[in-house]
Amino acid sequence: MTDPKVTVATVEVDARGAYCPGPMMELIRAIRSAKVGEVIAVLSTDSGSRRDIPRWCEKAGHEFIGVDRIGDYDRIVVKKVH
Amino acid sequence: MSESKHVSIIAFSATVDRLYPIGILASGGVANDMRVDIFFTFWGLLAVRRDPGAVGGLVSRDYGEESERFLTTAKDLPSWKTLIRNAKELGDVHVKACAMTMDLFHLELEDLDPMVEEVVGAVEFMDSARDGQILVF
Repeated sequence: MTDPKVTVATVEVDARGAYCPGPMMELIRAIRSAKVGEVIAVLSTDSGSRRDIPRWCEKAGHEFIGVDRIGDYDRIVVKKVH
Repeated sequence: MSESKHVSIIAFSATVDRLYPIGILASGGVANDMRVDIFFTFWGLLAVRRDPGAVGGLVSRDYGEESERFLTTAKDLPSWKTLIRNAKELGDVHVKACAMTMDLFHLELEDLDPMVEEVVGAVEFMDSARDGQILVF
């Protein structure tokens, strides 16, 4: 798996402070408007999103690159596959 | 159990502790690529009027002394209406109003928040809900 720390994202979505399912919904919004192959990073302080986003990627068929914990928030990195 | 792609939510209550889950679960449905129908009826319908007054902003008495804490915490959240609007924007979410309650309270579609698309009767709603799960709030 690619290291999320070194993955440069095309789009960065700051969903810090939003509660479940806020960051997930922000990601879906970003995926919709992104081009195939683009990498999206979601910044989140919501612990549920750490679990929800990888599961969603598996179901929706997008690539979950990884989560990087930065201080008090997570940087969740996803690649749009289709 | 087979996978259902359709959930119908009956929004019967008008207190925030029951309206929030509707917005949150509708969002969850969108994330799972499901169709979500929300049927506002009785007190729930009064909460989606354009001018609901205090209705839709209070906490159920079930919460007792926790009510105040619920409302304080909810200040950090988008409103339940915003959650439903966002879910509608991103997915297959449809908001309906109960025809019988509309008649009972002399309401027209124009009296309701624009998130409500149409007025349907119980028979039509139940028919549309038969292929999925039904949740009641």
